[in-house]
Parts: sequence; C-alpha cells; structure tokens
Amino acid sequence: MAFTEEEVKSEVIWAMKALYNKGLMTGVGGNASARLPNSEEIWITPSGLYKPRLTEEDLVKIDLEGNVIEGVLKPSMEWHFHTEIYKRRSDVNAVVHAHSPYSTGLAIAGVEIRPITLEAALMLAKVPVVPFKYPGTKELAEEVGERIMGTRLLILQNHGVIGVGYEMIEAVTAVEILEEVSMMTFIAKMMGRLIEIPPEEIEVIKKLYRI
Amino acid sequence: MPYGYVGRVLWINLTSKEIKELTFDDEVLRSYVGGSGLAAKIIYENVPPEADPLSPENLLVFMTGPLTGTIIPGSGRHTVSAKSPLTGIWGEANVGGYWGAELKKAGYDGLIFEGASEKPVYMLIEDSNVQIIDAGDVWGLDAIETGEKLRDKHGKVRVSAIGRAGEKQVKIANIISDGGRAAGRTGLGAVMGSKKLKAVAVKGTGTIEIAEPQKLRRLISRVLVTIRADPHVQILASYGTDGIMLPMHTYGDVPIKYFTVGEWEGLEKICGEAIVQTILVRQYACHACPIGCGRIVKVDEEPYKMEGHGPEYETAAALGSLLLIDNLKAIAKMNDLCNRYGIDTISTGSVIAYAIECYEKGLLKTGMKLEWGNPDLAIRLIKMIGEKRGLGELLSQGVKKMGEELGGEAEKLALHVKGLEIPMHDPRAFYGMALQYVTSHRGACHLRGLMYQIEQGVRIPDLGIHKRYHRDTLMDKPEPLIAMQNWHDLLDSLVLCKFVAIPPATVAAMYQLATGIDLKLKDLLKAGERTYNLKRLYSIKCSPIGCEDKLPHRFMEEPLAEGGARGMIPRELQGALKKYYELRGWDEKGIPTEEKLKELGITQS
Ligand code: SF4
Ligand SMILES: [Zn+2]
Repeated sequence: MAFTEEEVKSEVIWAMKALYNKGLMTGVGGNASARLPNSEEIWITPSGLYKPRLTEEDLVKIDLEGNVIEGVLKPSMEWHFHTEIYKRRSDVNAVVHAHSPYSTGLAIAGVEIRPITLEAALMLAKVPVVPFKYPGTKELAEEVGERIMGTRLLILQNHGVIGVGYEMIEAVTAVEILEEVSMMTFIAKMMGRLIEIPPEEIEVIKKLYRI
Repeated sequence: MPYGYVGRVLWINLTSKEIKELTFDDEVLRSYVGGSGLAAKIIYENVPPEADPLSPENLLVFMTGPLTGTIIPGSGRHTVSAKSPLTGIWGEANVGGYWGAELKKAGYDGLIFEGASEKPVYMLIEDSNVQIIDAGDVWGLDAIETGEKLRDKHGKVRVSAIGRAGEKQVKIANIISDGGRAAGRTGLGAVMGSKKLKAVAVKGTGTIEIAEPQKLRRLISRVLVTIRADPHVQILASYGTDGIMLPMHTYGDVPIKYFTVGEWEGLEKICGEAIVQTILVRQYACHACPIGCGRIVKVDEEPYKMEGHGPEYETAAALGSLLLIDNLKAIAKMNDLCNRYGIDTISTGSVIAYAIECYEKGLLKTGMKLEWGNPDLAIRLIKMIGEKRGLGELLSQGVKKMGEELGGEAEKLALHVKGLEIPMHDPRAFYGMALQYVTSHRGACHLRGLMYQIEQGVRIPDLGIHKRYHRDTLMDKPEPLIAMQNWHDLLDSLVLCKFVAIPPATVAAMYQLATGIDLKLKDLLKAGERTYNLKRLYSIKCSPIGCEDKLPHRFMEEPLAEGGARGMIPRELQGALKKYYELRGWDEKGIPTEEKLKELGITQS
C-alpha cells in the first residue's frame, strides 16, 4: 500500500514491470496509474515509452480532467478511462491495463469463464465485457465507466483487460488471476472437456462466504 | 497524552455559550478508550437518569476514538451519544464518512454539548478557531442543503447537521454527516434540535501523531490484501451492503410486509445487484476504507428524481420489502427524503409499516387510505413525519409510543425492543439475533453482535469463537454473543467500522502501534465489557425498560408460513437469557451485580 507520493510512483513502476515479466503486455502495450486515497490527482504512465524500463521521473501527474500537473511527458493516451474509473470508485486507488493474451483471446472467441476453480466461481463469475471502441477515446472511457461499478476486472473486447484495486497489488493480482483461469479454460477446451465445480458446491461456497 | 488521540475535548455550554477544554487522564483512556465508551462515562456521570432527554440537562456527545482518522482501514467513523428521546434510555449511533477524521485533524477528540441555545446556532471549528454562529440562514433548510450552504460560506468544511425533523424534535430524527451518512438510530437528531444546534462544521489542518508510524504502515500493508480478499468484503465492495439481501433471503431473514410474509419476488428488484444495474453512478468509501460500500445513485425521472447517497441494505429493506415496495427508484427517493428531513430510515419504514398494519386491522383510524406497496403514499407519510404534520405527528414518535396511544390490540403489534424499532434481520431466522436484540443496551441493535454472521459459520478464533454455530439453536449462543457484543462495543470506542474484517488480535496490534499504550487484546476486550455494562446500567437507571429483555409477540408466537425461516420460533429465549445473565455476572433481573461492577471498576453514584 502506498502512503506517500513516492510510494505511489514506485508502485506504478512496479506494476508495469510485473505485468511485462508475466507476459501480460508487450513493452509498448499496457499502462497503469495510482493515487493516494481520495486524492483528485493521479500518477500515470507516459505515452509512447518502453514500459518495463520506466523510472519515477517518467511518470506524469494529472488531475481527473486530464490536466497535467507535474511531469514533462505526455500522459498515457488511455488516461480517459483511468480518470473515469477514479471518478466513480472512491475505493479504487490503482488501475492497470494489460493485453493479457488468454483473457483477451477467450473473449475474442466468445468463450465465457465458467466456474472451474474457486476464484473463477467467486470473483470471475461476472467479468463485464466492454464492446470494442477505439483505444484512447472518450467513448471507450464512457463504456468503461458504465461497467466498472462492483467489479475489479473488465475485459475490453478485441483489445485487453483492466484491473482495479484499493492498492496496486490488488489490481495486478486481479489481472493475473483472470489470466490464470483463462489459461486453464483454454487448456481444458483444447483437451476437449471442461468439468465445472458442481452447482450445489458453488452454492455451499457462496453461502459459506456470503454474509 | 498517548498517541492516536489529539488530546482535547470541547465542552460547549449552548445556554451560556461558554466553551471549555477538557483532557482525560491516561487511566480513563485505558479504561474507556474513546468513542461511545468514553461518551458513556461522560453521560453516566453527568446526565441524571431522570433527566428529560429533550431538556438542556441532556448532553449530546460527538466522539472519535484513538484510531479515528488514522491510516488504519475503516477508521473514518465517529459516534454520537445522548440519553435517547425515542427510548428514554442509553442512546447512541455510529456514522461513517469524513467528519470524525476532520474533527481530529482540527485538534479535537470530541465535542460535548450541554444546555440549549435560545436561538438557532451552528458551530464552526477551524482548527483552534471555534465559534458559535447564529443559524438564522440555515435553520429550516434540509440536512443536505445545510451542508452545501455551510460549504459555500466557509469553504471545504465537513458538516454534521440535522434536517427539519431534528429541528421539530421528531423522536426518530437523526444526524446527517457528509451529505448523506447518518447517525441514524435512537433519535439523536431530536436532542440536537432541542439544543437549537443546527450543524457542526469542521475543517482541520493538523495531523494525528502515531507512536510507531513505520511499523503501523508495514502492518497495514500486509493486512490490506487479506481484507480485500475476504469474500464478505468482496460482496460489500461489489454490491454495497444491499448485496446481502438475496443471500440473506435464502434464510428467510429479510423482513417482508412488517415481518408477516416469508417470500416475495420483489426482492430481486431492490437488491444490491439491482442497484448496480440501474441507478448506481459511483461507489463511495469513508476515510481510509478499502471497501467502499457506499453507493452514490441517480434517478433522472420525476417524481423520483434525485442524486446522492443511495439506500443501504437496512434502508432498502425498511423502505422496500417491509412495505412491499419493489420500485427501486422510489426507494432511492424515499431514502433521499429521509436523509434530507434527517429521519432514521429503519424507524421510518417501521412506523409506516406498523401504521398500515394497524389501519388494515381497524386499529388506526385516519382519513388517508393506508396500503401496502404504494410508494407515493410512503413518500407522503415521510414528508408528514419529517414535518410532524397530520398523521405524521403520531408516526414521528416511534412504534412504541404509537402503540401506547392506539392501545389494546395495537400495542401488541408494535415491533420494537425497549422502544427501538426492530432492524431488518428477522430474529426468527437467526435465533442468536433474538438474544442479541433483547440484550442490547440501546434496544434492538443489529450492529452489536452480528450474530447472523456467526450463525452462518463465521469463526473468530481471537474471540474464542471456534466452532460452527447453527442458526436454530439458542442455548449455545450466550457465549459467542457476549464475546461479540464486547468486541463490537470496543470497536465503537476505537472507533472502527464493523464491516472492515480485521482480526481482533490484529486490531489490538494496530491499537498498540498507533497509541503506544501496551494494552493487549484481552485488556481491550475488558474495556468492551466495561462499556457494555456501563451502558446497560445507565439504561436500567433511566427506566425499568432498561432490563425488559423481551421480544415482541410476533417473533415468539407467529411463525412465518413460508420461506427460509418457515416455522421457526426462538422458543428457548428465556432459558438462553438466564444463562446469558449468569455468564455476564448479572442478577436474575438482568442487572449487573455489585461484584461485576466492582470487577470492572464502575462506581455507582
Ligand atoms: S465498509 Fe462502508 S461503512 Fe465501513 S468504512 Fe467502508 S465505506 Fe464506510
Ligand atoms: Zn491497450
């Protein structure tokens, strides 16, 4: 968890490296942002640079209208949906966007995540899919804003995924879990069979866990 | 002064306009911690049990705790306490948002209001600049407008205010902070109104000193991941508190038609999922909260047009299923109206439901046609309650007084414990809730005990709750209930949100790192027990109703005919109560014994 501006920046840098190392984005693909709780200003990755090599000085601070407050570079062209999410979710302090191949690929093939693991059953049951809009546009941001309530993950059709969290670890982990379950789904489908957790069991799990 | 606290409490006499600064010595802080625990000590020692709650003699105590406003998750809450005008016994309510954190940043742990101003006033606190200001320009405004107006006037202040209901001393009036968070229960808005105190506006620029800031940060960093991964928390984060509606309904817990029906398809339209799909525009989190269970909602069409804080579970049930209203937009409007008038949604839904039932049974005569499932009628009644007008005058007193006035058969139908309307968990669905309701010091309280969680299998080893408890037994409940009540009373002293699931031992560690006080979990739980007993004792001194630990007839005699709680009745309540008293160290009437009080260091005045 980041408690200072410096920590916020280092988490953004860390997220880019983590997602790159996991193969969830290419060096020029994803982006990330974070803020201190309740702040109306966020630190976001810059546009056009090689993401895994970013340093703190490369980050840009913008307000929720996209005005640059600090930094010399241009903010990520996807800043629209980042700010849209912060406006709507005061519990969210970190946003990442990646091009996770399996998660995105399944959505392109029109395959839904089925309850094949506990996480898939509880957390990934209803990951909203955002219809294709041109990257970097306000329209995309609006579609994202419409669907971000009550979820930690979104799939952008024919594009990638978005993960959000109270802190960066959570946002990155959400994207990782989605990819992990997507890979399992892919493998099972390739092998021709996908055995789900029986619905009664899911009910038991849900009952046990729900308040 | 230990860390965590900022060290000063203001004692404001609204009659003489004199303002004193108090400090509490370490021993008192170790014993009563803060929040409503410390408030209980202040009220116990200063408000005579026979005092009229709406007289200048009563105190209105806004209190934060040593953890309020820190970086600890869930530390955005504060408490308000007084002798309750609704019940005539101990009254307190707990509220989220940012106001409490702001008060501490301004340099105060709490505010105690005594006396009554002759003319309406509000209080402005900007760090050490403390003023009592004529409220001529905001008196008569609703609670939310008042906040807006004071922010226009004074910049970015955080505001706690009463609406018109509080001004008119409606017995179910509440206090609204931050534009829609409610210190809801026990009618404290009426106490504020009786003092002619419209609002308290606060702006603070200071910091809260922490004993071990680095260690505390490290601990929180490690705890956060587990909090957000907790499945209960995921529901709250995803769907708000109303996310529990459908799962709870599988147990027959959600009250329908004033607790007379066990099944109703309308719930699908008013549950947390429905809110997300229809009217939600934004999620709201209190200060330092990783969950964000608050919902900001918007309805564009008349006659329900509104934008602001959306219904929580208790509200969606009280203004929805309790009245057979399945129109979510109407419920959002009703909630907004309640917030604006400043009336408690649980009590409001209850008085309306009770009135409809009495009307249908011919026990209440009125020119209006009272019926179930009619949102426009409910809206009219809310306005009448808020304005104390017509039939609203009767309803504004709460169901107990209504029952007494209507008399006879009607009195038996009023659903309350000690004068406080039953919250939206059916004690027939979770027997532990039955015992919880009757033994709560402020009357039917859903928040001290949360037995419905324990009875769904939640285990809290730090509190000695290891085994699987079932919802249809009673004799094994006193032990876990007492542990939970003491724990929750402690949380209301610290002050932390009960939804942010941090294990008790971890909370104790955070307390130590924040304050530098070496109290262990068991000492802190003792403080919880102490305040629980003190509040009980005060209630008993105020009125014999303070130890009238019984459930309304309906829950003991009328089982539901359908749904998840079909046929269930908490029959063994008396037996369990007896065991509960013994374990508590209370006598057979439920009064804390001399030995118990001595053990807890409570002196009888
Ligand atoms: S869980 Fe809800 S009520 Fe509790 S602190 Fe968080 S937002 Fe506030
Ligand atoms: Zn992209």
